[in-house]
Amino acid sequence: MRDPAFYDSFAAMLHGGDIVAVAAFAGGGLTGFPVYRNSVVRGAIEVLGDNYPAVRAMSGESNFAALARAYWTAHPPRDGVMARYGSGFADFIAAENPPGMPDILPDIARLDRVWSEAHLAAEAEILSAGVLAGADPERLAELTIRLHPSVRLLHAKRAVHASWAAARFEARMVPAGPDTGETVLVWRPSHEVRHRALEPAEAALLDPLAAGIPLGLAAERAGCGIEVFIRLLKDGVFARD
Amino acid sequence: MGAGIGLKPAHYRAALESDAPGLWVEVHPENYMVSGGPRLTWLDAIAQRHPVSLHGVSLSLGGADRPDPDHLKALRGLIDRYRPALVSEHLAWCRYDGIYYGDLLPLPYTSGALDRFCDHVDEAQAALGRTLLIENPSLYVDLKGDMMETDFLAEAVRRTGCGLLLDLNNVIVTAVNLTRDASAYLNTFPLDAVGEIHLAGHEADPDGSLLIDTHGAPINEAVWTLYRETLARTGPVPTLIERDNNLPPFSELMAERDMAQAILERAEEAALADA
Repeated sequence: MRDPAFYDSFAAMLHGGDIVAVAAFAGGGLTGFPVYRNSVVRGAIEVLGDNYPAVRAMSGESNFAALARAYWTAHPPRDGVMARYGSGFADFIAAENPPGMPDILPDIARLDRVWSEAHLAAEAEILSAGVLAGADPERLAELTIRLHPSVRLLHAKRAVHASWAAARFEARMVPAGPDTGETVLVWRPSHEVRHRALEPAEAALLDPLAAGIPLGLAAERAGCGIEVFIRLLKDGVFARD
Repeated sequence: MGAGIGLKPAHYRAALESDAPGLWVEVHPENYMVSGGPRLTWLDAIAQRHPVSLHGVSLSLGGADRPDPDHLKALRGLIDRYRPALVSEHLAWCRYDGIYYGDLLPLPYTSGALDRFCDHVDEAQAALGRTLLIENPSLYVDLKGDMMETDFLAEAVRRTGCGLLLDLNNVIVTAVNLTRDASAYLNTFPLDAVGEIHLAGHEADPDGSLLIDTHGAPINEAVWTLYRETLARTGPVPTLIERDNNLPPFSELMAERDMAQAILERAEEAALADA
């Protein structure tokens, strides 16, 4: 017997329903039921805050708790791997557009998300500059270069990297930059996640490389010289096959 | 294995460098079900130096539904990678109708629930290729049932061959919350099946009527007393200091661990003297 009545009524209570239904299963007092409900909701808020520290810092604790509770109601976790929880949080914030929150908050959430993704991405050997040293330039142009599996690129409408980093790592508020667009690179070349705003030429080169376009053609499209590639190479952005 | 600690990222380096006799570490496998990165790298290194225990929190063995096959597969992957000394889960549920609740929820101790729980333990043990230790829960409500928790656990041990993880803090928390007697509980607990003991701290909830199993405070004197009494009956059992919140500095956590280690060593001497 699956006994759905018990689980249905307990789950309904966790979701904020009254405890009348689940009370039928109690053999004693009822004061303990809210302990479970509070613990479930508080746990989800904490996990989301741990996964989105810049959003939490920028929103303030109580605004964040309200937002996280609303997110939990709409999108509770589906599995036990809590590092994955909140994949739709940025889109949720964008759709909810919570009053009194900075308009860059969805992009701040996206940066928190890609930080987690980079942190937990698969390992791969970094393509070092030494491997390519002495390679025939024509062969080099034909190479398709694989990005390291931890590499994430965020294209934002406003310059948000400085605001995100200050909020996430120093709980300090820095106003967003101009409305001129910014590409942020987040990646984990060794054990630590790194992040920086890219120069336009770097972003222009990385996008076609990420799409599997050979280096020569990608550089031509980006209109950039070899030095841009070398800089990214030295930063450990590419994987060795 | 003597006394171990719940391993937190803030203590990775200190745990790796510690050469405390008997030290072992326990982690929630869910935090290591990732593709790569520093968590796995640290645990790889620590597992070279200290025994590892995987203490699952999300299999939902006490739930209505069978264990999630993808989750079992991921757990099996970690078991194959780390060859843990112990693998444990809970007498609880946390998943229902596609939602993961992130808390250890209670179930009625009925014969139907027992059948289902044993089926889930059988399925998990077969998929994992390991015997599980099942932990007694901390309870905040008393649910109607037709058997005692200790009978439920004893029957699960008999039917599935699982072992038990005796959480002494949970024994105290439940005894206070449901106005029962902790010693009476232990008198009926199947102590022969105990493969691990948990020690942790609890706190009173704000209105003071219930104890909450927060893992956020030092171990209470009542728990230490129960620990000494239990070891006098079981002999030495691998023991874990479980601290998840208000994480103290490593040295402070290790001071509690060293206390458990000393109690364990005395239990070992007593067992040898008896032999």
